[in-house]
Amino acid sequence: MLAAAFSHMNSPPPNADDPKLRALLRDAHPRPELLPRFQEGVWQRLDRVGRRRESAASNGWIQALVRGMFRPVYATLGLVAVMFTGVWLGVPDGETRLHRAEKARYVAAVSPFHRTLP
Amino acid sequence: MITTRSSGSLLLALLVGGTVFAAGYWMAARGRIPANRHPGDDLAWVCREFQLTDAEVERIRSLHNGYKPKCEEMAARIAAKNRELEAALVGATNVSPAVERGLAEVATLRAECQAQMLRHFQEVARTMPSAQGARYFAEMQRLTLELHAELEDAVIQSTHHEHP
Repeated sequence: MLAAAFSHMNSPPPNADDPKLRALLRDAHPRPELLPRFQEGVWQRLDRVGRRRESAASNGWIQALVRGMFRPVYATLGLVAVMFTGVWLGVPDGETRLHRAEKARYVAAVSPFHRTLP
Repeated sequence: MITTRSSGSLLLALLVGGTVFAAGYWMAARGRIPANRHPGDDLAWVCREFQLTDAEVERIRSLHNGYKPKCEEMAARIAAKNRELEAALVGATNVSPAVERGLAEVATLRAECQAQMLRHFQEVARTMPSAQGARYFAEMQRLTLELHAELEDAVIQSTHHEHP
């Protein structure tokens, strides 16, 4: 019995080109059916990843700008500049409004027509 | 591609920047009002525009206070005359003699008021230094005539709206 077992172990390796063996292996590991348009989907995904990489590279400066803007020094300087711009534009506007309101008040005080306007 | 985080940060930065800008603008614009030397004063514009001294302002104030009751009386007369004319025109299909008389009275009253206004403006102008006085009178003359035109425009527009 032991001899028979040893004799089996010593038998030559199966031939990979044996058509019977190939058929047996094919049946033992059936190839799964591919989903419809699987190949197209793979190409599209690859294409999308490629485009995303390109876009990320071209918008790098925007991200760098955003990162820079949130540094405390730049953020403070930016806010101060924005505030000064607001004040700079607000002063003449306030002056004009005040001037117009005062003039309207004077005209209303001296013109009887103004008081009776429909 | 800008990531969602970057977009959010950019949006936040714009929002904060916009708020700070608006706050600065609003404070600066509103801040001019307490700077007014004569808050709630009818003569604030005259004082600022023509850079008058306190003595000139006092003389103009006295003239202004003397003119104010006359102006109020004229305004009341104009309003009464307008009411009379409107009453005469209610249901009228033609221009009656009463309407004609009313129109003539309104025109006379308007001329009278304009003359009185111009006399007051001349008086005020005389209390100012000559250059400022001339500028003041030119401005008030223009306003007197423009107000008249404005009144007519308003009447024409209201007539068009009522009778398109």
